[in-house]
Amino acid sequence: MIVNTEWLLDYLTPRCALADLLTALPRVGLDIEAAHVLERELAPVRVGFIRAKRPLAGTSDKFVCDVEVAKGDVRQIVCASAHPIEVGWGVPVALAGTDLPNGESIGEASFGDVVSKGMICLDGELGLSAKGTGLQVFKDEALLGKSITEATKIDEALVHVKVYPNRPDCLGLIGIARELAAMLDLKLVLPSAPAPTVYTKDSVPVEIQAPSLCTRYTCQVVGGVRIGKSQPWMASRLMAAGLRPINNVVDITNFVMLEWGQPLHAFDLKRVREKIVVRKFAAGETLRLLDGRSIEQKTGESDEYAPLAIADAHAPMALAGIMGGESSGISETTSDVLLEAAHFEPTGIRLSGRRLGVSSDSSYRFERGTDPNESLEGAQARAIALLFSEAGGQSAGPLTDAYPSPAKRAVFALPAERVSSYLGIHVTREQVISSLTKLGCNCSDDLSRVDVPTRRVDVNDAVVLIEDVARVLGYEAITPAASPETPTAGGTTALDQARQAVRASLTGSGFLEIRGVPLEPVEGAEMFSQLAGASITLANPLNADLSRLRRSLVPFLVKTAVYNASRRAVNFRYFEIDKVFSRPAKDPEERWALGILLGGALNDADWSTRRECDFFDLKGAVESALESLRAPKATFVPTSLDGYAEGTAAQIVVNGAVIGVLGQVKAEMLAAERIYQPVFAAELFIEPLVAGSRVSATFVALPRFPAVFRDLSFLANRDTPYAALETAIREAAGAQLESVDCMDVFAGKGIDPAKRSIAVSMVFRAADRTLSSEEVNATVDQIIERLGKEFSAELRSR
Amino acid sequence: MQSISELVERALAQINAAATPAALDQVRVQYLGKAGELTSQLKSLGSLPAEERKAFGQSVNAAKAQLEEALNERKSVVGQGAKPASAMLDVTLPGRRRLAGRPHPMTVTAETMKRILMGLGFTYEDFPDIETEYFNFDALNTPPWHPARDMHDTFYITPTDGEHRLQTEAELMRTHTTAFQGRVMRARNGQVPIRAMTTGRCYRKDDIDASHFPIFQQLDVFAVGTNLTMSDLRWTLTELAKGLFGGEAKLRFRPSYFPFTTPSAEVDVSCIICKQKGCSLCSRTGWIEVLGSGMMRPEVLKMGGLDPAKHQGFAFGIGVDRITMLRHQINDIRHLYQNEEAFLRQF
Repeated sequence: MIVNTEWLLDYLTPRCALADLLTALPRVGLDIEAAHVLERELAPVRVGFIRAKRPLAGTSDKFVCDVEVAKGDVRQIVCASAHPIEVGWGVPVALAGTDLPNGESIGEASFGDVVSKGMICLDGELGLSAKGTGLQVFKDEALLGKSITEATKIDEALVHVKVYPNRPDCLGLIGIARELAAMLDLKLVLPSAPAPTVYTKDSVPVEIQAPSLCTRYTCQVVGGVRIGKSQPWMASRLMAAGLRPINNVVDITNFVMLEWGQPLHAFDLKRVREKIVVRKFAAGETLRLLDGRSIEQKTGESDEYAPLAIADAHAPMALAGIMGGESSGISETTSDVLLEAAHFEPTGIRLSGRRLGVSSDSSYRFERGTDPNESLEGAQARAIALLFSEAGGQSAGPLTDAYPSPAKRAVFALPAERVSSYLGIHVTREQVISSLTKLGCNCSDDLSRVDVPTRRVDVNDAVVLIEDVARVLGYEAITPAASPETPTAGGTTALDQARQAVRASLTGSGFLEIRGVPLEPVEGAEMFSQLAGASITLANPLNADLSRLRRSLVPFLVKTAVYNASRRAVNFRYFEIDKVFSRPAKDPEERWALGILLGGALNDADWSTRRECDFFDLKGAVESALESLRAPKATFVPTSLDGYAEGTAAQIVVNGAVIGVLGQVKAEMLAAERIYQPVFAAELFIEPLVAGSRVSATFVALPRFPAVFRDLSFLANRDTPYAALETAIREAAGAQLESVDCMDVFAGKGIDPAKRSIAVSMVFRAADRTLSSEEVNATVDQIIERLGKEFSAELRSR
Repeated sequence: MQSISELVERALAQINAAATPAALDQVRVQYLGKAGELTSQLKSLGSLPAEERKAFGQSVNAAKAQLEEALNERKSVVGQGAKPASAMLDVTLPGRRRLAGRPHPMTVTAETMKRILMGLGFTYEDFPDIETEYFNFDALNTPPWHPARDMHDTFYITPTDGEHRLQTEAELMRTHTTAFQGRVMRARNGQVPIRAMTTGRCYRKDDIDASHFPIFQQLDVFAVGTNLTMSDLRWTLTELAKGLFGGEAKLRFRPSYFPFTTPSAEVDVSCIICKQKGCSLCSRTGWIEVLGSGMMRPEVLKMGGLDPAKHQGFAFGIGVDRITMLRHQINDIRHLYQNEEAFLRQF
């Protein structure tokens, strides 16, 4: 809500300084989204003198003015006759290029052949509440070209106040003023609303047929109004608040809504046949709204969702609480006005507004909750009074007030001890009573009864009153104090610890952690995903590129490599730990994954032994990560998966279960993005590793007897996997084999093309004695025999 | 037969241990001399079957070359002045290495907060990104018609074919990690005290600009006991702020609104950059908004199976993106998700 502080101060006495007002608003709980202090922000607007004026060709309401904006600098400005102007006047001028506090940027404007170089600004356009005619007029030629902030004293601000949904009572200036009065110890001044003296008009009967949706409906006739423009003081206040003045009657309803927070509606009495009926739209009924749209209650549609109508004896005239109908509204020919002030149930207004896609300043307030008592009555009386004073009203009819079951003030018990034990500070009974009384509550001396004004729709529990007390006392009164309650030990989950271990492993090997975007496009072939379940998509995505929950971390890692390659990175080492999503059955499944990407040179700084990364560098990183989790040793099984080059991908198997995949990213995919070095990627699921890993290790006695080392070199068939050979070696060697490591693999020159030479280094050891050379040699013999039998491997050396 | 690799390993150790040219020469004689250990290996070649001779010979020769190289290299270190300057070790050449890996700055922020809060007795757990309408809204005192729902522009999940879900079970992307409150209380089955925290991604249908991204990370915390107060909340937040921003950090509480807390407080921290002298980061106010907090609503406790007459609790939620940006003075949220190396390596 946009608040002009000068208007707000109309409701407070004694007058308080602008700075105090701005500090007090946040204490109320009203966030200041922007505060435009006009004395500062209007500085670029200067005083220009009108030197000549002629009608703009082809129009009756516009003038072309020659305006001297600085000594000898005359600009042509087109001015609409919202306010009379005279040659010789000094007026506020915003030249093209000026930004006004209300957010409007003034530019050059063309009217046919005539170019307007700026704007002559009314008070409302400047964000000022008008004190005079709505246009600042200066006669002193010495002010020519001066900033208007020098020419006149400006002590106002336009404040964009954020009113949270719980406080619709602050959607009117009186509501805000009431809170400020409590905070600043000021007095609230309600606007005067003298009752009419002449009652010669009839009353209009009201029938509420939907009492659950409309709690109260009042209406009153004011006769003899003359439709015209509003007085400057009202028009400029509306403009400052961001509303466009329309005509005096409509402006009055808007003005009073901004004042009291109570929406009003004015009907042209001659369009109201016999009576007002508050009822739901009947099947087949239509209504053309003020904004030109039509709504219709289709036949056959459930009555349950039918919107509420304000109808006369025959047809709906307005969409209750949301928007008036076109034909029953105020027009230039209106002379008798029927003014509605009503209270509608918030939920009904909200649901209808949503369903029909119609909203307004009225519905915004009704759907948050208005006050059926004091505010409604105050607004009603004020509008009637203004219809007399500002719209020429001559006579009134008696008020019709349909209020079948009046809303009562809610009552709570709020002992001071409860306030103290909730806030954790000592609050006295007197403090509670004084705070709540300032906000309009009535408190019994022992606080067993606190009754709350009906405008406070948010107070549905005594805790809200505790907040009220805290606000009045000031939140700074709540000092920090440690809880006397027994502390508990904090901690985290095994999964969380696993993520941290994996992260430490990868950052330790020089990988950068990235943060991807978990939403991806639906189109395009699905790449890299190991998930079998259905995809999960958003019903209302922001755009097509962010419409599906990602099923693999690898695509974003590739994207990151591409992004950095375009910034001259050549070595890629990235990882991400995040969720991947699918729906394998009825419920969605979120799995924690680790994605790794590796490409380019092994080292970043290397002037001597530069080498490109290959598959085994990534495999090593994967194995290290698994080791950091104390996971059982993984085995790797060839596989194929979209996104990885054929013949380069392997499943990662731990404890017999596939927990991930690694491989080389398809070169075509990267070449398209100008990456020509080989890039490798892996993706592992973390949860199964947590379940299978050892939580804490059990000590194994350290070896006490020396080890015996043996190397073995043999020729094996090229297609025999190393893992099979190693398994055979381990099996043949039995318990004495402590470790076996592959030290060399060679194929090529001097070797049968169907074969490759593999050299392993083995360590033998017994836990209870020193192994003799003969024993170990015998074991090695067994190994050689087994390799020969099973794989036709030939010994090269031992 | 002795393993060659074992022999090489032993020899290399001795070479590296040799401190003088004389000692080094002794090692050379021990292995490569006429009667040296490696030399005598070659002599045993004759006893091998013909087909093995070649391979064995090769491995001995390779070992010999390796030892000679190591001897020469070591000589250049121990033999002072014995060499021309050109062959000296140039210690100023760059080390052969990978640049250090780093966690993402948001990870560091979140882990720092988790560590501080664990010290204050909070227990960490993960919760789903895909939530039900119930836990994200209803259980947090935000029924379907509630205008507060307008404050969160929500992404909904496309319903799966042919399945009718009750309104409250409709799936959506959680708009705040606060959704975990109901799940934790339900799992605790009425038991207090509870001191729980979580962090994770949240999703809101915001357009992307310098301070908005449709995906962001929150850290949410709540505690329920028999008499926890707003003062405890303030103490907890003060400790957290000190750990996060340094011992001098001050906090300011302002009234605010969240459907799931009353009293609610927006919390500002004293500007860490200008020490409250006024700078652009704090818009010259000396204060920076960092989190939302408050006392848990009775409705929320009740829906979590607790009794508001007996139990009281506090809660707060922090934007991890925002705190990360503050801690490092990052001016555009998009940097956090662009993963430019020049960015990632700064933290």
